[in-house]
Amino acid sequence: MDKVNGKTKFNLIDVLVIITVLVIVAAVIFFVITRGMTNANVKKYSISYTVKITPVSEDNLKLIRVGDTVLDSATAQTLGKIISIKTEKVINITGAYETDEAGNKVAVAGEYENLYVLFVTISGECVVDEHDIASVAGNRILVGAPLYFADGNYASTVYCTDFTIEGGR
Amino acid sequence: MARNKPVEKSRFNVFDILIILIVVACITALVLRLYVFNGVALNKKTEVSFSVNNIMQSTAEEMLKSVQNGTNLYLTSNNEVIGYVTDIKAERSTVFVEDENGNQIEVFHPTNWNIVGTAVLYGTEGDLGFYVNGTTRAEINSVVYVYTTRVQFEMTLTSISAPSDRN
Repeated sequence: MDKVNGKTKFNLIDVLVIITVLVIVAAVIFFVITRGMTNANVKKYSISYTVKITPVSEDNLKLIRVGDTVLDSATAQTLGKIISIKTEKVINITGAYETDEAGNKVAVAGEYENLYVLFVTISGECVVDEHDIASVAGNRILVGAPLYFADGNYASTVYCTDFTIEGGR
Repeated sequence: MARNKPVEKSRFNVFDILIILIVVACITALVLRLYVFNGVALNKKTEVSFSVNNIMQSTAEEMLKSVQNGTNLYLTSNNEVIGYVTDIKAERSTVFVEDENGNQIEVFHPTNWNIVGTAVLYGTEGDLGFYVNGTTRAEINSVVYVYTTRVQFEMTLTSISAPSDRN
């Protein structure tokens, strides 16, 4: 800055510096916004995927129903709708063992009276990235991947056990 | 008599130069970070053996079907390729029970399976050994969280070979 008659005034260099800073700020804002927009423009596919919920007590079985909308409990975004539920009892190791037909010793499995494993199949929409990896509401849908399941009645961390993407991708 | 105002030309002063230098340094640093030093150079590789323990039979079958020699492994935390699988097979999980004499014996688990395999992982070499992706120190029994295009799993490292240069 220059001093003219004792007053501080802008000079050409100050203007150039201010313009440069404004351009940098604008570029950063543009980069952040367009990165978000890129995701919004990605093509969506139908996906059905199964998650394993365990253990669920007998009293809570009725809280998870076909037709329920499932949300990601961490972000409240929709993961899809429940289209089927398969129920099995949770097993335990009894401490006994038996010998199978091949001569292998195998631990004998028992069942808990009131604890269940639920295999819940959810139908929703996914996006597929450049590596052919599907995600629903920002969650990767892969066998073994965790999801934060919440259907308005019951919440749990669950794991994906299977998935099918429209068109067999 | 009219007096002319003193006219002073725009001139650089030391603060202008400082501001320009700072702005240029910031832009240079940003460009270097984005396009040149974008992450740690993973210039080493190592071959590891790994296991994925106590998984459902259907998950083990899915892994055998979809993970093959050459399948890329992505790091769960940053989605970068950190290596590839070279071999994979499934084994039944085991548990310990007591036999009729009260001795502990190892028998097969009725439902669970383990996956065992080998993989090449990329990383860096430091004073304390090999670092997968430059961040996770590779040690026996350490866990690396990875995924492929079909499955996500926790690799427990069971052996680690000496690092070599990545070609």
